[in-house]
Amino acid sequence: MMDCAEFKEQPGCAEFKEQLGCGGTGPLDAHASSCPGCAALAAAFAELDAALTAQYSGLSAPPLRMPRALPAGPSMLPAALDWIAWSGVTACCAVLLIFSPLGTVLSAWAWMILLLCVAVACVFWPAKTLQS
Amino acid sequence: MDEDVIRCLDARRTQEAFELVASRYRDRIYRIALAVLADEGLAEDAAQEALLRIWKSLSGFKRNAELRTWIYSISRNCALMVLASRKARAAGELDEDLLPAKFAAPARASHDVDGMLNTLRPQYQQVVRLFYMQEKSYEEVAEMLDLPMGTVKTVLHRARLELATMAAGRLMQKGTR
Repeated sequence: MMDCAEFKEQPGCAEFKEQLGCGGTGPLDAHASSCPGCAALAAAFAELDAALTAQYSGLSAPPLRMPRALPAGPSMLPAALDWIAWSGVTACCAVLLIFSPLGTVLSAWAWMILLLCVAVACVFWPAKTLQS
Repeated sequence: MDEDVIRCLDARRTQEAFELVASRYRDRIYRIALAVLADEGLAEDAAQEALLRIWKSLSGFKRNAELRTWIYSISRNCALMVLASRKARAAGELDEDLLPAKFAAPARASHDVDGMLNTLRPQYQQVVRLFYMQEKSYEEVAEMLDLPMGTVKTVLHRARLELATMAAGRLMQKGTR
């Protein structure tokens, strides 16, 4: 025979009944019929389930303002700053190379590298920005 | 489920992608907010904020996560931020009329089922509300609140047992009067 503690361990609402196993609700009903406290608990479970279902089931959102009126999507500022920063870093590296002892030896090469870096920065970063 | 949204994003049709997201997830975003905040007005504000954030960052959505997981996470964060600011304001003002039901004294709002629900701990309230809003789907509740399924089941059972015990106590009190 089921006791009160076991009864309380059983989920008491209708949608749980299939989970109660082969014993079905028989043992629960038998216990409830002999225990007024658990019978009240079972009645309260059913009442609660009905009340909560009535209160919350299928609740829809009220009309929300869609941000359709915003002029543009995400800001391009971070990408632009990114591009400026990387171009600056590349240019600085190239300038340092030109004015370094190595640069005097390879000044023509250094200028070419500088131009190449700027060209790569000009093409690569906008392309990367557009892609993302 | 959200392949069409991803296709729109890949084609850089962000507005169209957003409209699909908004029409598909509007109710769920609002339900998460309502489950967390237990106040329709605040839930509406939080849902609005969540939609705005989704709009702003949808084009940067990383494909390594599920879109709905990302949306639920933004919705939860917005609701929690609204809740935190509400708590801070309430603590500053100490005006009981401005407090949502869950912060007010339980005895004041314990006449109906929602009043009893408000006496439970916040996590229990969230799970119970969302469970009933989502047509009793454990999977959806677990996903929307980012909780393991086992936790959802346990929390739900304990919460309902607490509620039923409260309700049964009242029924028996009424019976003895």
